[in-house]
Amino acid sequence: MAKEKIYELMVIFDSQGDEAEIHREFDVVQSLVEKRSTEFIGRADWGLKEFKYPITKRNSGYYVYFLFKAEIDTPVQLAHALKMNEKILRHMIIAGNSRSVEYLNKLHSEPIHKIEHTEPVEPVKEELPIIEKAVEPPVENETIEVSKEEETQDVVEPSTETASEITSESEPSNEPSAEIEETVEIQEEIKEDPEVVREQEQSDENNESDENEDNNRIEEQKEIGGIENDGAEKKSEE
Amino acid sequence: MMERKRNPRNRREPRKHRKCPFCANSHIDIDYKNIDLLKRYVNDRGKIIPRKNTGICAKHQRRLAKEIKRARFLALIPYVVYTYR
Repeated sequence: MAKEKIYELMVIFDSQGDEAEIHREFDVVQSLVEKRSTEFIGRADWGLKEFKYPITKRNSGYYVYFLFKAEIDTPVQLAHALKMNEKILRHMIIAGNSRSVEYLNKLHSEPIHKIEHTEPVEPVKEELPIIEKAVEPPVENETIEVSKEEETQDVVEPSTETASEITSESEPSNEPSAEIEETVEIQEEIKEDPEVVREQEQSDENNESDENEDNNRIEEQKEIGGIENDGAEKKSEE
Repeated sequence: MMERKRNPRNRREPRKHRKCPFCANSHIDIDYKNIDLLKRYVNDRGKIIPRKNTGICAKHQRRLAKEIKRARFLALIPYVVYTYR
């Protein structure tokens, strides 16, 4: 008996063509591995991945990972068989260990966890009662109103207190307003005072009288000039 | 003859001794499938960073280099990263 070893096989399939054909090719390769290996441990599909550099003018491909136990001679035979397949862009067979088995188990266990996470889509059920609560608005509103009223009542008392406090505190602040009011009153009194009004009227009359006096003076001067002129004319006539 | 004065800036400082992260954490698996780990030890040009910069021991550096080359072969990591002007 030859020695047995764990082997990892990574195969990159061509992404061009029908997906169904490509997936059929996965199974073909798996059957090929199963034939040659003594124990087929498992398979993991990585799915379509973009290459970091083009391989035979392709920019993406399907990665599939196989793990199997086989004799030492089998990898060479398997590599030869894989080379014949045109759908396979590249493959790599390396010796595995217990960690590769752990990796595969972890990969297989992850999807189950994902399903468990997806199953409790119960949060939707949790959302439904919230909607029901929303359907019954009056009860909530009443409670809210009551609570608001209570709050307002609670708030009013301190507000009165605060108002009294504000009035007591605002006394010094009223002083400037009182001064303003006083000034307004004084102005009104000044307006209403008859003496002041008379003075204003007198001042207006004086202004008018001054203007009249100026006019009168001009007229007088004219008249005087005219009289003088008349006298001179009379003298000339004599 | 005037003696040359040594510039203190040119004086080499003793290299700090780093512990190998893979020796410290034995559960970390250096594998070509673990691309996120391998990317940490490759510079922006795609070159493997020397161990004097990373502080990895010789044993793990050898293993790391091997796994990086495997990942490169499978087009999971680029061989070269071109930076165009």
